[in-house]
Amino acid sequence: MEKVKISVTVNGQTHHSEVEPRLLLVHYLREHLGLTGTHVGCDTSQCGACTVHVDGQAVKSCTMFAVQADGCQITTIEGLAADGKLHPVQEGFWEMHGLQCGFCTPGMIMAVVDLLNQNPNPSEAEIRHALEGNLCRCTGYHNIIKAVQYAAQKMAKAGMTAAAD
Amino acid sequence: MKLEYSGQEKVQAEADKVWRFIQDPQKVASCLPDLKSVEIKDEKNMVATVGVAVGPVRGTFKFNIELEPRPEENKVLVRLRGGGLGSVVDLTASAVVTDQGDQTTLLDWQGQATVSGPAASLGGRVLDAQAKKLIQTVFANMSQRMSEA
Amino acid sequence: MAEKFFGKAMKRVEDPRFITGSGNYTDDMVLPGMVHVAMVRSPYAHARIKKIDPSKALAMPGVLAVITGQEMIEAGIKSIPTGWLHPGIKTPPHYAITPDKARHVGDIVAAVVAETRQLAEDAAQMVEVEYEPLPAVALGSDALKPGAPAVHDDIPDNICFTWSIGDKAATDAAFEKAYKTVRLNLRNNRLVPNAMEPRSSLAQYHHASGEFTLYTTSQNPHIHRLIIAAFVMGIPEHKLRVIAPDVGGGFGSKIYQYPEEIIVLYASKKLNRPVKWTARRSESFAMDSHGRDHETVAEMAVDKDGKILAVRVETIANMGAYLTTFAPAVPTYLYGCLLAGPYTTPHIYCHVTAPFTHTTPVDAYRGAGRPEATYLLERLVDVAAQELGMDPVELRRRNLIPPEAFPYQTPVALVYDSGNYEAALNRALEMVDYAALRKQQEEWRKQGRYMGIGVVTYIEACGLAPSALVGSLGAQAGQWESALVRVMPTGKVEVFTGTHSHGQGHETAFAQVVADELQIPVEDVVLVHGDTGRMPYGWGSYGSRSAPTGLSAIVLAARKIVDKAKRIAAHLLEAAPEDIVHEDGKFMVRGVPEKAKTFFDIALQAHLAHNYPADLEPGLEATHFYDPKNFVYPFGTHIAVVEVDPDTGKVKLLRYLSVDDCGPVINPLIAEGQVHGGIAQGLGQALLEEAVYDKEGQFLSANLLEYALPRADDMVQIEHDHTVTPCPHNPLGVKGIGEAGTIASTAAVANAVMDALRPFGIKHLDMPYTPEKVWRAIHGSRLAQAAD
Repeated sequence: MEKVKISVTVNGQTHHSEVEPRLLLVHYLREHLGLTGTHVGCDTSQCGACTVHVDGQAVKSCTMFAVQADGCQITTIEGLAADGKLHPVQEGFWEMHGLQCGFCTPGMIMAVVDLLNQNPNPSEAEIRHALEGNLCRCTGYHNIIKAVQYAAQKMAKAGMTAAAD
Repeated sequence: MKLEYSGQEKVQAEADKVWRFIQDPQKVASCLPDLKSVEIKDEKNMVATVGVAVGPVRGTFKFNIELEPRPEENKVLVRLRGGGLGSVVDLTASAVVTDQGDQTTLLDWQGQATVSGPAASLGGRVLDAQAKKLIQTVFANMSQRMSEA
Repeated sequence: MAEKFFGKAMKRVEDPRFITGSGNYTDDMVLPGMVHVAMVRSPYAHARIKKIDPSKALAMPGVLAVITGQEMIEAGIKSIPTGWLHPGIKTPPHYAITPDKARHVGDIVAAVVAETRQLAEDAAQMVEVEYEPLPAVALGSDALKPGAPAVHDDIPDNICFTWSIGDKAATDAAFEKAYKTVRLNLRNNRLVPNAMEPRSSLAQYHHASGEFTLYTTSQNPHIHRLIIAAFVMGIPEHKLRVIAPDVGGGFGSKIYQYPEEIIVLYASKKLNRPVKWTARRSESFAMDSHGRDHETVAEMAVDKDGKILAVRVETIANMGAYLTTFAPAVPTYLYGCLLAGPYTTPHIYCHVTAPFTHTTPVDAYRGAGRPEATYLLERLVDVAAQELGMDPVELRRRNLIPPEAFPYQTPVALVYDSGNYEAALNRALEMVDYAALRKQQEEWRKQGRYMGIGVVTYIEACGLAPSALVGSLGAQAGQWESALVRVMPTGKVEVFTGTHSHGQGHETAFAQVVADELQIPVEDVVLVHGDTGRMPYGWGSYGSRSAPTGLSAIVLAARKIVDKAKRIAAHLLEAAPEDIVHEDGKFMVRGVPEKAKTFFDIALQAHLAHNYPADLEPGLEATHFYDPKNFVYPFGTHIAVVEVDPDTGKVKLLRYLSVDDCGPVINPLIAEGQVHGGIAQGLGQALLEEAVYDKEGQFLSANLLEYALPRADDMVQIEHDHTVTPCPHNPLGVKGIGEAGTIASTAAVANAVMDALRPFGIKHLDMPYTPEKVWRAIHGSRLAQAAD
C-alpha cells in the first residue's frame, strides 16, 4: 500500500513519518512512536482507552487515521505530567484510588482533563455524563468520580486552568 | 442469523425490457451499491466485489452471484453466496415479474439471508437496517436503470 | 513504636506507572525480529472443515506461514485438558486449532504468521476454507433434546456430566409437608467477562538452549506452564518460562489455558522468531470463556412462620463447545455447595446437568457459581416472603444462622467457620433507614412512582482451598500457595508470591503486611509476582484466594525470617534466642532495650556471616508453602434501591449500599475498591449484559456495540461499611473480598426491580432488565388487568 508523509507533534516533539493511509492514529502512536501508554481496548470505538488530545481536545485515537493528524498537536498520557510533576487529574486518580488494573486509566485521565478544561466545576451528574464514552470494568466508577472531584478542587484552589496542551 | 425481507418495486418499463435487463449479468451487477469490480463467469454467474460498511465490519465482500431467470414462470431467482472479513452471507431471493400493461412492470420480491460470523454479531439492530437499505438500493437502482435502458 | 501499616488506606505503589502511561502490558512489548499471528476463525457455529487452501495467503509478500490443526497434531501438539474432573465426565479433545470441525463461532481453523499484524490479518482473509455448515445448538436445554445436533461426535446426547449434592429423599419429604412452596424458572444470563485489556500472548523461542519464554495475560502463570509443558506441548517444564506482566483485569477470564498461547509458542519455534498475538475485542467475545448461563428450576419450602424447610434445585449449566480449565467446578462445587446461603435450611438437594453446545466455552467469571446460587436463593426468599405476606427482611432474619452456631455444618458439605450475619444485616438496615424507605415507597406508589427495594443477605466460600479437599472433589491442581521472603544485605526485602495481581493492588497491600511483620518501613518491601522464573511456585489469583491463601504464606515466611533474625540477634547480643524480643523495629534483649540490633544490622550480618552462630545457615530468606485448612466465608448484606419508569421501562439505580465482612481489612481503599467494582459487574448482569445466541448458534451480541457494559451513568456512589469477624484458621484472620460485590449485587438489583414491579402483578422476569423487557412486562400486565 502506498505510504503518505505526515508530520505530527506529539508531546511537544515533531515526528516526520511515512504511514499507510489506513493506519489508525492509535496504532501510529503505539507502534511507530512507541507510546504504549495509549491503549486499545476495543474495535468499535466504545471503550475510550485510546483517548488522547488532538489540538487540545479529547479524541478517541481509534476514530482517526494517522494521516488526519498531519500537522496536529497531540498530547498523550506520557506527555501530561509537566516537568515530572503529575497533572492534578493524575494526582486525583492516585489519591482517590481511581484505578485498579490501570488499562482504561490513560484514556480516562485524558477524557477527564478535557472535561475539566471545558467545565472546571462539574456536578456528579455532569462527570458521569462526560465519562459515558470511557469504560472501566474494575472500579464501578465510584473512585473515578472522586478523583475528578479531587482534581477539580485542586485546580480551583491553585487557580490554574487545566490546559496542559 | 436469519433475515427475511420482501417488497415491491414498480418499474417504468414494460416487462420485455425488464427481462432483457435481468438476463444481462453485467447490468444487474451494476446495480449493486459500492461495486468495486465484477467478473462475469457466464450468462448466469458472476463474482462481484462490493464495499461493505456495517458498524465496525468495514471492507470488501466477495460474492458469487447466480441469476436464474424463469420467464415461463414470470420469476427470477437469485442466489448470492460469499462474504469477507470473516463473515459469510448466504442469500436466496426471488422476484415475480408482472407486466402491468401500461408500460410499467411490478417486481414482487422476497428474500432470505443467513449471516454468519462477525457481521451477525451486530445483532438485529445495525445489520437488519443496513441489509434492508442495501436491498432497497439494489431494487431502486434496477428500477431506475431499467427505465433508462 | 514502628509504624503500623495494616489497616491503613495507603495509596497504591502500582499507580505511578499506570497514571503516567508507563505500565507494561503484554501488547506493549516489542522483541527484536518479532512477527505477528492472526487467526482464521469459523464464522459458523458448527461446520465440517472440508478443505483449507492457504496458497493465496502464502503468496503475499511478508506472510511466513499458515498453520493448520492437522499440522500441529502431526507435530505432536496435544489437546488442551481441563483441570477439574467429575466421575463419568466426558472430556472431548480441545485442540488449539481444530482439525476437523468448528464447534463455535470464532473457533480457530488456521493461523497466519506474517511480518506485521496488519499483514497477518489481511492474509487471514485470503486463506480459503471450504466449510460444510452443519446444524447447531446454542441453548443448554435444546442440546439435551432428542435429535439435537451433537457437538462432539462421540457424545451423541451432548451430556458432559451430571452432578448432584444433598439428600433428595429428605428434601422431597420436606416439600411434601411444607406449609407453602414457591417455584421459579430462572435463566441466569450468559455473560462475557470483558476485562478491559484484551488477551495477548508473545512467545520467544531460544534456539540455542531450547527454552521458551511466554509473556501472556494470565492470572496464574504457573498453571499455564504446567498445562503447556506437561499436557499439551511436551516442553520440559524447566524450559518454559511464563511471565504475566501488567495484566489489565481478569475476572476469571485470564485463568484458562487458551489455544492462542499454544499457537504463538508453536509458531515461535517453527519460525525461530518471537511471535505475538493480541485479541481484537470481537475475538475476546468469541474466545474468552463466558460466565453463568444456567437454566434452573428453583424451589423453596417454608412453614407458616417463615422458616425455610428445604430448597430444591434442578439446573442445566451450559458448558459451551469445549471444557476450559475450571469449567466443571463452577456449576457444581462452587454452586450447589452454596445453596444454604446464610440460612439454617435443613434440607437441600441440587441436581445439575451440563451439556455441550455450539457456543463459546463457559467457565468461572467473577463469583463463579456463587452469584448463580445467591441469585436463585435470594429470589426464592423474596417470592416466599411475598407468598407469606411477610416482609422479606423479616423472613431472612428468621432464618439466619446465629453467631453461636459456628462452626456450622450445612447440608451441602461446607462447614462455615465463623459469621455474624445479623450484625451486618442490622447495620445495613440502619444505614438505609429501612422503615422510612418502605414508607416512602408506599407514598411514591400513590403518586404513580415505582420504587423497589432489594435486600440480599449473602455468604460466599472463597480462598481456594484445602488441597486434599479439592483434590477429592476432582481438582487436578493443588490449591496451596507459596511465598518466598528474601532479605538483602541492606535490609531491603523482596517478597515473591505465587498469586498474581491484575488490578487488586497486591504490591501495596501485601507490602503493608510484610512491613508490619518485619517492623520495617513499607518502602523497603517490594512484591514480585507473575513470573515462573522468579517465584518458587504458585497457583495464581482467582476465587478470592490471594489474601487468605497467598498472603498467609507470605506472613508465615516472614515469621520464619523473624525467628531466624532473633537467633542472629541473640548471637550478636550474647543472649539466649528466647530472650530476644522483636519490638519497635528492633531485636532486643527482653527488659534491656539498650541491648538491641536493627533489622539492617541483622540482615548485614546474615550475609557477611563474619560474626555468626555456628549452627545457623548464613543468608536471610524463607519460603513457606501454605495449605489452608478450610475455605473462608465472607458475608454481608447488600441493599439496592431502584425506580422503574413505567412509561419507558427504564430502571434507575437510586441508592446502593453494602455492608461486607471480609475480616480485618488490610487496606480499606483497596478493599472498598474491590467492592465497588464487584457491585458494578453484578449490576451489569441484572440490568445490561447478555451474550445472546440465535438458534443457529450465531453470537448476536459479540462486540461492545451490542453488549452493554455498565457506564459511569449507570452507577451511583456506593454507601459502604463493614463488620469484622476474623477467620479463625489463618494467621491474619483475613477473608477474600474480590468477588463479594458481584455475588450479592446481581440478586440485590434483581430483587429491587421485582419489588418495584410488584404493583403490576409481575412475579418474575429474567435478567437483564432492559427497558424494553420491563416495558413489555408492565404493559402486558396492564393489558391483562384491563381484560380481567
